[in-house]
Amino acid sequence: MSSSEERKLILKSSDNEEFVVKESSAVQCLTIKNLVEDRCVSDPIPLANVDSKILALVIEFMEKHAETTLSNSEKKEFDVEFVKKPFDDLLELILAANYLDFRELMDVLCNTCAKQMENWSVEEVREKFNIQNDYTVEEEKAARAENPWAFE
Amino acid sequence: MEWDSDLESDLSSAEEEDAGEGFGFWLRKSGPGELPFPLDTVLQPAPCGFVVTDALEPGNPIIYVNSVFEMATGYRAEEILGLNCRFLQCRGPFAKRRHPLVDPTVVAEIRRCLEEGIEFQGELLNFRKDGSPLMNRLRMTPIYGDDDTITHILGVQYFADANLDLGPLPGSLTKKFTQTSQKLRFNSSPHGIASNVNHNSSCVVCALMQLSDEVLVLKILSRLTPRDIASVSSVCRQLYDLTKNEDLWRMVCQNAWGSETTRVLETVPGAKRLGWGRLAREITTLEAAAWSKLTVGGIVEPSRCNFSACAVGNRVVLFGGEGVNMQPMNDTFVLDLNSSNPEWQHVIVGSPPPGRWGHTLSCVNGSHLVLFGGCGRQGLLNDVFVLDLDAKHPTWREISSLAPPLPRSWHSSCTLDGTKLIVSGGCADSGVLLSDTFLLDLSMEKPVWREIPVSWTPPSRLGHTLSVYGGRKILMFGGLAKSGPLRFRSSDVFTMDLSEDEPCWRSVTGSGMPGAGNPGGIAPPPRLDHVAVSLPGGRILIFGGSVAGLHSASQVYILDPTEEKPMWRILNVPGRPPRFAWGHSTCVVGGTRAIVLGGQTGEEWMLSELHELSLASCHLI
Repeated sequence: MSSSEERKLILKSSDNEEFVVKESSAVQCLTIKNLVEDRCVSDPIPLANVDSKILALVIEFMEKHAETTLSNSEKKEFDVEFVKKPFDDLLELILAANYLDFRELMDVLCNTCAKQMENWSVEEVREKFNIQNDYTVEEEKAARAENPWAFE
Repeated sequence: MEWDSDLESDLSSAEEEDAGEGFGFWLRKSGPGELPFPLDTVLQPAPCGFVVTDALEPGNPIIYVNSVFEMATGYRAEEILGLNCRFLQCRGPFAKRRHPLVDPTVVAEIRRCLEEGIEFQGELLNFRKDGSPLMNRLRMTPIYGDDDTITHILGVQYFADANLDLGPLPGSLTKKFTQTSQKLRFNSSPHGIASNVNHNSSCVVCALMQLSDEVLVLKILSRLTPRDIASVSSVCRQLYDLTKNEDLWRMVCQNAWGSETTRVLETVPGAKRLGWGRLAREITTLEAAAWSKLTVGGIVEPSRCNFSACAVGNRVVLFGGEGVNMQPMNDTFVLDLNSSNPEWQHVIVGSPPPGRWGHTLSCVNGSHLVLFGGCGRQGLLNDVFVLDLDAKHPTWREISSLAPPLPRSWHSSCTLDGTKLIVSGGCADSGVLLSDTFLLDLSMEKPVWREIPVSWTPPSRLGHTLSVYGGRKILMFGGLAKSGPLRFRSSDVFTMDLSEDEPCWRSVTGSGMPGAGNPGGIAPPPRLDHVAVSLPGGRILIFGGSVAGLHSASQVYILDPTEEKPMWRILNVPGRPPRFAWGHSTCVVGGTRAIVLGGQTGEEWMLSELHELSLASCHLI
């Protein structure tokens, strides 16, 4: 009986690319962990909501954080470099981490996202998240007037 | 357990082992040996989806789905629990109607079987969350309860990709955040997914980034600063609604100020009424800062000066002091500001420490007070005593430790993490000024004093202040500092980061150049025995103390050491300030009010009239 360290899983992205990962790394994603525990693992595991580009990045993070030989500060250093990505990529990674229920990755990404949003203007938030302004001119003025301190 | 024996004969022992969590209850429900369908088809190696619905509830809501179902359909359990399975017949999470390609005769057959209470088997077109088609080979089985009513429906699905080209999902949000997908406006009226779900619960799917409101709020918005949240409320209607949520504001405050501060703020009466949103605003802008006077009852006698005051929750505690004839006192008084008529009360405590003045009193571990040093009857002291104010019979307990700091008075102290006492400087025997820094971890069984080794210290001093900010950083200000053979009042600012492996003192601006170490702006005149208040978020307020000349001692100055280039600013506070305020007899209550004792004359200790610098309007009397 081989040790669980050697058990591998195949993850398949939404665009049909397959990735081989160690089960011990992959179970950091609770979604995958539940699947393994329910013994309902098919080969490969289809991840309908994650494309190959993002899945590759998730796997990179996953494997780094599963390495027992790395210290916490080394992992933190990796995290700092890992999040230096275009904002759109960060958002897609957040969606993937949320779907996969990968808490550690989610925390690192959301921290970064919040930090980047520091002091953003209202217009910047709309642009970066592609949110349509559904206020009328008067409504927006009123909303802003409620919190003048936010715009000083 | 025989894994390779015939499955059916081993049923009774195998069922617990093989069955996943979802199997358990309906296996038990159907009684021993009696199963509604053959177990072997259920336990096939090919992964199948399982769904269990509650047949006693109107609408037959889903109460369990397994991971295969989640993987195959792209819907997470928390998004769909409580819904009827028919959402799978709609294409994508925003569709309201069954897709036209779904065979209505099969749907009718399902309905008929459910009505007649019999099993259904068939194949139906379903859709994943991203709109791609799936063929669902479905078996639905009613589960009967004790009295022959159907209590649950069990669905087993084998999903396979369907070869249909349906074109792009109309009006939906693709993952690429393209310009076409904008509908952020979200009604509380039923959408394909949002129906049956309480709007206040976590399951509303938000078009913004396809994250549910709960994830968005918990993970991202809660990490924004108060100012950013306030500004984000003007982005669109949905964010306006989300940012009105008090729980979100509480998380924002906690992330911005630390859990210690928010815990203390929660105990302030009136804080709940004000709300976290308003509190965050007032503490950020200081727009509600005001001086007021407070009259309290009770008497502190014999009268004294140079005592030490410290707040525990909403209670002000006073210990010791110098009485008439310079006699060191050792009694303890408490003033409960929560009571409708606060009055000074002498607390009978067990084993009081030797009397003293010029000592420090700090709050640790929530309701404990720790006393250090001072000058007693026989000279300077370096003993440590702790008092649990909430104990049934409060008793001062001495903490003895090897290698304590030198005995001293008029040193400075602060509390780190709510558990570690930090002590620095002060005046030792023969009037020698000190510049050391010691730490005592009171969370340990046997606390041990540890000196913080540094290669350089600021000039030694007494009567300075240590304030904690940014979690584990301390800021030293002012005091009477050594300068060659002389001593001068100082207005220097130094900081130390105790989260570093080798903490060291730095000037607050970070500059080593002479004269460039102190912040610019309108600096407070040099002083000692002043008041320093740590604001949530890292800023420091300075006022009071012994100031040379005719300067107004109660002018309030504010500094943010976390800024790139920290600058002193004046804070204009309405109301009548006290004429004097001393560090040793002023304490900060609930992080938002500085209570100044005996500030009117500076000589007679009229403790029935207090002055209060309040930072949030929850204290309006």
